[in-house]
Amino acid sequence: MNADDVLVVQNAVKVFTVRRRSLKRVSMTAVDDVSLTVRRGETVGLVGESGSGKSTLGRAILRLLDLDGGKVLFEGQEIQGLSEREFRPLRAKIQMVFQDPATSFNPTMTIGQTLVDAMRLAGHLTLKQKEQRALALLDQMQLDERFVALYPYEMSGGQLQRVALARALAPEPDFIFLDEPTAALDMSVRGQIINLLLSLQRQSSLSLIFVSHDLRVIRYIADRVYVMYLGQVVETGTKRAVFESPRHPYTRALLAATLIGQAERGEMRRAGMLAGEVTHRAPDFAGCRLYGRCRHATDRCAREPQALRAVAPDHWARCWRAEELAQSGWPAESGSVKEGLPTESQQATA
Amino acid sequence: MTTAATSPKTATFARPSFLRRLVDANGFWRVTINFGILLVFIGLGILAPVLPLQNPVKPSPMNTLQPPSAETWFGTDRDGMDIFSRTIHAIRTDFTLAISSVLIGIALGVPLGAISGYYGGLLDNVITRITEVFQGFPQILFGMAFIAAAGNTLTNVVLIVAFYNIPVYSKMVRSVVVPLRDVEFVQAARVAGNPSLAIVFRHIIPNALVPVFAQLPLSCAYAVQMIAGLSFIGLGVEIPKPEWGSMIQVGANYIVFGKWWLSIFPGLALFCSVWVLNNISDILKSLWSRRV
Amino acid sequence: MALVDIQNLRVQFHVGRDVVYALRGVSMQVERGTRTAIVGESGSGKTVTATSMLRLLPPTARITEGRILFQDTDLLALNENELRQIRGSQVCMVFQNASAALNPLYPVGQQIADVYRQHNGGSKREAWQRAVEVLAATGIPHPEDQARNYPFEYSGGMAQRAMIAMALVCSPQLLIADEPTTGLDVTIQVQVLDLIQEVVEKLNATLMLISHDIGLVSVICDRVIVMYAGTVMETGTASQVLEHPANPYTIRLLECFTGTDGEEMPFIPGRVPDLREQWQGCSFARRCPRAQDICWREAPTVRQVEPGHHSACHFS
Repeated sequence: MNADDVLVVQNAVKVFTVRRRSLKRVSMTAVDDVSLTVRRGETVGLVGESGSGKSTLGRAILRLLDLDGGKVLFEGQEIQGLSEREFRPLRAKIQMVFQDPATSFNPTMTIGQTLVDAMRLAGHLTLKQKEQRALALLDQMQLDERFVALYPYEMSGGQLQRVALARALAPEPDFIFLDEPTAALDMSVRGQIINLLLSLQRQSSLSLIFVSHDLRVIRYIADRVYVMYLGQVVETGTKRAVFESPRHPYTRALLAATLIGQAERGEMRRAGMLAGEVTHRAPDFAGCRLYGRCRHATDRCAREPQALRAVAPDHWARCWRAEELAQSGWPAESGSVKEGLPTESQQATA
Repeated sequence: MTTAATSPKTATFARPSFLRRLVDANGFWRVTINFGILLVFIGLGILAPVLPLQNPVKPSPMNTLQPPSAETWFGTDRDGMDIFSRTIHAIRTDFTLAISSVLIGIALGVPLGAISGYYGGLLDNVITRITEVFQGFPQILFGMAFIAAAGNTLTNVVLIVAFYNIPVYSKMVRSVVVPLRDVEFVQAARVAGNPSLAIVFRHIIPNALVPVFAQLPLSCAYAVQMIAGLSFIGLGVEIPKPEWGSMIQVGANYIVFGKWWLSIFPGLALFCSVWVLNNISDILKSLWSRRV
Repeated sequence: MALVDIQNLRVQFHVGRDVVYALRGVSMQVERGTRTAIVGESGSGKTVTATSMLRLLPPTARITEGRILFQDTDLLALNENELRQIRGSQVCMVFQNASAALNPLYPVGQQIADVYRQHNGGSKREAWQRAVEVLAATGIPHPEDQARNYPFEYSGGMAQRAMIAMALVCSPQLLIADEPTTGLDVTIQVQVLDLIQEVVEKLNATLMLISHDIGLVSVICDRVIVMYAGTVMETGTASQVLEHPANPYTIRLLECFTGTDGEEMPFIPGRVPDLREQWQGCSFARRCPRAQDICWREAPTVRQVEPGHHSACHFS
């Protein structure tokens, strides 16, 4: 860990006891030995679908729930063991943007009141100063001043998410965790939030974790990417490395499903496909979590736990067949997704 | 939907006035008529002693059980007292007793339920069990015991009735609060550094008020009933003093004999009050229960 | 003759004291045997169009104008009994939130069997067998066991498959799928889409697929209709609309999906207009980079860009 690391998560573990659909009580490891690092000024993209543990991890970082194992270090200081009282002053520096604008605002408070409430920890400011800052934040988010007197139900999703960002910025944080901030928004408005974030980062040394299952968005915003599946990190590296040469079958499946959208890409989509559904494994299952869905799986995959290993400089994947898959090729993104790409089977013979 | 008035350069954090918002959401006539009727009632109640009414507590043995007529608009009761006058004077008693006891019940029950629901755990268990015990007590018996111990004053009557409202509101609020704990805006409030008590009072309680508004008029009606029950056995409001509940109860015995006017008029007055209160509660709810 | 011909459909919703003009003169045709996508964002009216067809609108809705012709019969003129003949046997709908569309109190197999018996008669055993068959056909593992399970025991993806299985049982001529993949994991979405395609082929049916994801629909659809704020903006074959879009809204929307290679992510500034308002010109005028005076004054008529490709814009 070096001085430039704003946030370091080491071997985080969180276990829940849930009722499965069949009403039996099972323990489910939502976060299974996850480690990640965020450097100052960078955006880490956290990619994963339902059950991946990404939201749980976020809540653990924000101390909205407590980990069962592992550490979280914020600017060198361990925060997972602190009491709420000890941690509270740090809350100003660690903020969050939630997914659903419909439920992340108190319906009985105006936007102005919400923003002022978000500055609770800035005790040295007078009310007048807080109100001024609220107006300034709205302006920064390209929202008209008059929004300050509106209730959440009077605003659109896109507008509310910009307010959510303003709220997170209000206490002047060093780090913001954004949990699928654009998932509930129309595609045509997502770009506005993304570009606002990008310009914020250019101006300050704000560090972000941006969670999304939509790789189209991650592509713009992230510097480095962690891909999670069922509580584990299955691949991580720079954005370029992960997008251009994905080494884990799950990453490839995600890329095939989201990035490629033209009719003739049907082939490509199917080549990357996974079978079946997310299957939560019994605690005694030792093998790879993707077993049963992965088309490259062998017996070894079912027996042996997979570790995260380096497959290239600064690029890790949790699959013993990662190099083989690299051989069979993945079409490199030659500038634009609009060009025709060969299917995987064609590549294999090349 | 109106938005705040803004001058070109300065924005204001203020919203249009409360009344303005009520009217916008419900229409001018609905607000005016309901609040108007309420104000008329209250006005009559306040002014009762100075209005040209018959003496409400002076018995008139020669005029007992007279049907409504030009001299006595609502007729007379079994003691010859003018029902019209009594109905109006009773406004003071009933409104003050019922509304204040329900409001005290709400003021204590709502935070109790919210704290119980939000903190959970042992605190929640203890509070819930205690409120359940109190709900199980037979009301009149407990009322008698309390008054016997603490004295037969109107304040004590209010306290008894308030006491019975506490578990009602506590339970109701608790059930709304439990799912609210996990809603994202509450988590956002934690992330902003709000301590738990601030979250309960600023974020949770305002969002749990909708069912409280809905229940309030009903509670007032029940409060009148309970007060009547107590005065029937001689506790609380002393017999000659006019009070709708006891007027209705006593008058009920005479319906069989064809003397309908003893119960109907105070009954109508009670009905009107509760109805207007109900409408007002809906009107207030309209400001609270907006959807995004 | 088109299988479905919607003519100048206007639908309003009365919510409290407000009127929401959800559809403002929507016209479209769906040819038999095609797979047509209706694409749009929130407020576009795509779901209202689909639910209007089966007259499944909530009581607050009013259809103020227009006809919906299905094989030359105006669906809006039918009474409840006649409609019921059409729903289920000729036109089937798959909804977005499949778990919510299934009755939570009955096992899934039984619900499918019931639908089968309603349309084909037959004994309970026959119906149950058929239910298990179609569940298997939609790729649900252990169909005999799953048929006995309740909807809450199904995952999102499985519930969608069950809904599609119900459509299989009905053998409709027209399958309307309303955002069938929204809310599902991306890796499951591909599977569900493929399944829909398979089923439509097997039934030799026509598909109307409603979605906000223009990239997704391009995988299985051959025609695309783009809607915005209650109006149809562009229609054409998938390759026409996706590769040579003519309407400024479609062009901007596609950019948002496929992205450019710049630093910034493309977006359309502004927001969808408030559907409680009515306006004179083009719905997209206030956000369109090419808007001119005429766009604000006059609503554009539909013009042909090339055969089969139409756009509602003054300048296409």
